[in-house]
Amino acid sequence: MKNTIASMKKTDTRSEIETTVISVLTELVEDWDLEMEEELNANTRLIADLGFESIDVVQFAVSLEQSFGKDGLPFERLFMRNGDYVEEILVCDVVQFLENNL
Amino acid sequence: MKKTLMIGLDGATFSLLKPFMKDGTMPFLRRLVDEGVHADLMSTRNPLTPPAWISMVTGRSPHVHGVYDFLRPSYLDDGSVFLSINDSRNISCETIWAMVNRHGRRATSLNFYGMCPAFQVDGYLASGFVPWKHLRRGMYPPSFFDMVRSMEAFDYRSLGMDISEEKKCLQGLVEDEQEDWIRLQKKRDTAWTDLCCHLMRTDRTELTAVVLDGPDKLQHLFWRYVDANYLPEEPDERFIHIRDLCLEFYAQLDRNIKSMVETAGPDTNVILTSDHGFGATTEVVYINEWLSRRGLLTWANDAEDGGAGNLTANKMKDHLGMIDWKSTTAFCPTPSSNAIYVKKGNATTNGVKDGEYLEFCLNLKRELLDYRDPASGEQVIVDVDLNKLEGTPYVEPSPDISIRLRDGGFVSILKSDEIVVPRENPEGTHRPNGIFVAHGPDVKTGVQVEPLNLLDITPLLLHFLGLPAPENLEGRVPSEILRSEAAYAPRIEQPNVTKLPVRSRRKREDASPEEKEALISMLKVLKYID
Repeated sequence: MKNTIASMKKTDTRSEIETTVISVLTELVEDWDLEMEEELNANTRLIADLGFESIDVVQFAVSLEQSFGKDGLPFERLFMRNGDYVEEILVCDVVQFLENNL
Repeated sequence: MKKTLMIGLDGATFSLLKPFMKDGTMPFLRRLVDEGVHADLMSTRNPLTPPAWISMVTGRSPHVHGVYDFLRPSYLDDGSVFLSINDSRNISCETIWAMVNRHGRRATSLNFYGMCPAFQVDGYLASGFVPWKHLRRGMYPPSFFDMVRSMEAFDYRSLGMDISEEKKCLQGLVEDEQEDWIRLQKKRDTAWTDLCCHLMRTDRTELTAVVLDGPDKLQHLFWRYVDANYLPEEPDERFIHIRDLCLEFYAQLDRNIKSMVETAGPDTNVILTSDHGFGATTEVVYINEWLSRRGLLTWANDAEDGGAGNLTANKMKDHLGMIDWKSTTAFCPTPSSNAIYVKKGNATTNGVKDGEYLEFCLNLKRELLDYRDPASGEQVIVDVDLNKLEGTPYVEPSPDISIRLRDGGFVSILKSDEIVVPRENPEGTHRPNGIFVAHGPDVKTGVQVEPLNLLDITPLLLHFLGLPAPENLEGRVPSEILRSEAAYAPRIEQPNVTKLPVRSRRKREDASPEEKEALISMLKVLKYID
């Protein structure tokens, strides 16, 4: 029972985080005139789908920190694997990262 | 109530503008000078856009407001260094916009460096140096962006800064990019002019201020086309074509100034300022290579060298990866800093221990000043300041040492076979003396005064608005430019200190090292400036 409650709470938190991430991302790209076939969701790819460049990632990270009210998030853990840079980042990756670090 | 208009012209210099006024390229500016007051305007110690504009709009020096460069270095526990981008949250002082608002006056701030993320103002704020995709975050109130986006006079994206284009100021252009670059600057400056005029017509604030940064962008890359000292005796067709485009840029600049001044109206006190001047740089000085040869900096194995006169790496991940940080004691982080940072040593990393810092810096200063160009035997570094040893409080990350090169240029941070390498062609670089022009009902007519300091601008603007100046501002009201000079008496605000900024939309505490690390890691990941 305890584990069920804990896992339910964890799911709620993850859901809230995902909602906030998508909200921040939606606000960030609303002026980009993107032609998207579907709404932003957990599987949206920052680079392939939204055309993110370096400065866009910086702005997105700053916006996330401000929205969650948390400074100093270790975003390099999100963007690097085994000492090399990741080729793509999905919204769900960002959500997982925030869930682990908030 | 009289209104005030400030027009900033990034990098403007009388060494160019006076000949253009004389030869008819800039007739309206000539009229402003003839009917008003003008003077040189001395910049910050390092005459560079970020510290200079912020000093101008805060009335405080860089060691107080804390912005010394476009980027700021931070240290990790393992001795490595990363760079993060300065933004509005890094300014430790109150801006003129907030001072004006405190007294119930409204302010419009357009295209000033360092105002993003946007913060609350009573009036309008649109930060400069913001990519078009993120202009919304750089504007206040939120509705301002929607208004700008809907304007038909220009494409709102013209207000944005294309970072990939900006880097060309330091790295240069290939020939077929030249015409487009000049046209881009005209387009951007005209867009900001149109926005400024629109706001003055539709919702005038007591203070309106705008920066046009086209002059700086053009002059970095095309100095030898506009400076009479460098014109070839027999220019070829291509040279004439490019020069003509440059002259048309200044003619359009003059029209932009005219447009704003005329929209402001005759009852407005107008000032034109620049953050620094301009001149030629004729060589490249590889300062990190100089430090390396003295055992103070260790290159990483794959460090990029400074071929083709580059000052910096194309990509940040290369930029930061050039240096073996753990083995390095002193380094220059960016060309624009013209600075040397000294690492503090601890048990596990190279650096200078506290008790050795004074001797280390004094020795380094002497070596810098003693260094001679192997080709000519002449001094290369002509001025060295030990910033943390002047007995003045400072906000970090203050550079430990600031240097000035004999040709006034920016250093290169790259590896090189030689310390000093002559440039194939002179390029434009910054100089300490910018411009000041004042015109209006409270300003004398037809007068040139002794050089002013950009720290005087905030006190002067407050004076024009009939407001007292906080006592801790470092400049003065230059009463010698006022028609009422004899009757001038300083008005000091009580209590007598400026107030730290309050960010209404997003409250932010002092930045942590981890936050900056996260930001610069992203720059590394996505190759800062694609």
